[in-house]
Amino acid sequence: MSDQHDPVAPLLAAAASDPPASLRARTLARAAEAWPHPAPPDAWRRVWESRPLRLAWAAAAVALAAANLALPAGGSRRQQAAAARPETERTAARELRDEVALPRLKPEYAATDVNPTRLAPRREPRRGPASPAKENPS
Amino acid sequence: MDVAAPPAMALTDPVAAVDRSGPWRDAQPWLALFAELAAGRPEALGRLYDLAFKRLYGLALWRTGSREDAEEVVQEAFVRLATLRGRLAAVRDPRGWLLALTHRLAVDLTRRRRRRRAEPIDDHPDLPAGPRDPARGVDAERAWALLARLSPKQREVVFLHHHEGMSHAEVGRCLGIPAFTAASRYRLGVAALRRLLEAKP
Repeated sequence: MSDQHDPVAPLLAAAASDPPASLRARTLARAAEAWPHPAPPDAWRRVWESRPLRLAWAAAAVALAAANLALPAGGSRRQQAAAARPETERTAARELRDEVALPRLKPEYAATDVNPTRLAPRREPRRGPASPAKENPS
Repeated sequence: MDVAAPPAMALTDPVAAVDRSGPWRDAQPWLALFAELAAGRPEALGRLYDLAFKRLYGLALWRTGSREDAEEVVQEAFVRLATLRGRLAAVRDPRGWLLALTHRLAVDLTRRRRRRRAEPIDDHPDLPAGPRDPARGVDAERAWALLARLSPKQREVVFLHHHEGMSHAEVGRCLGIPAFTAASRYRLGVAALRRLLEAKP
């Protein structure tokens, strides 16, 4: 959409606001005050510009890579424990299933077990006696 | 020298308010001034101020919604320029760098003010009154009354895209947001202004 036909454009143009003239002197005065105190270089720049720090950084990277290669392929004890956990869970599930499948000690309670094939048929709702007026409208 | 002054016919020709050329858009003066600052010449600060103050002040004003805060942000930006001058030589886009710095300072100042007041600053914007020209003053007051209804994020994007003529990708780089987000904020802001204009004839 072209700005020329947009009613918002003149509104935005009217909102242009100038700073006070005194701001220049105040700004430059504050900047002049801060000029003799330059900020120290940030940490990454210090590392990059310092030879000992650069060497230490490279040595740490090499040490990390070597340690990664030297680690055993099987992993740590924690990793082995994590790998063994699913087997434990499978054993527990099997034990629980066997427990549930045990026969009942009192056979008379066997009827309370839910068995979809033995579900009783649904009863029809009981209706009251039909009114004689409806049966014999005449 | 006020090289960044907006055209005088801004009200009659709204498109002319968008300065798409000149020293502000040309990267060379910026790079030269940044190189001077990096070389330790403080006199470049004055020329940089003359080149940039309207844009930096405008961005800070539209973001903070307060004249005092905008002035504080501009001053702080130049303090940072003075203290960080050692890094200016490596800046490839000085204009974007300075606008991004102003944006971050404005956000920081708004957060500090919000914490101090313990209430949302958006509800009580201290946006400027209109200029002295009475014919323009009515328009400016109305414009700021409507702009105060936008969120600071929307105002900022509208300012950068409309007044600075920056593309949405440039706005996104400046504010640290995706270009799509910048475009979305602009579209929503302008749509809200349009609705407000229709509601308040």
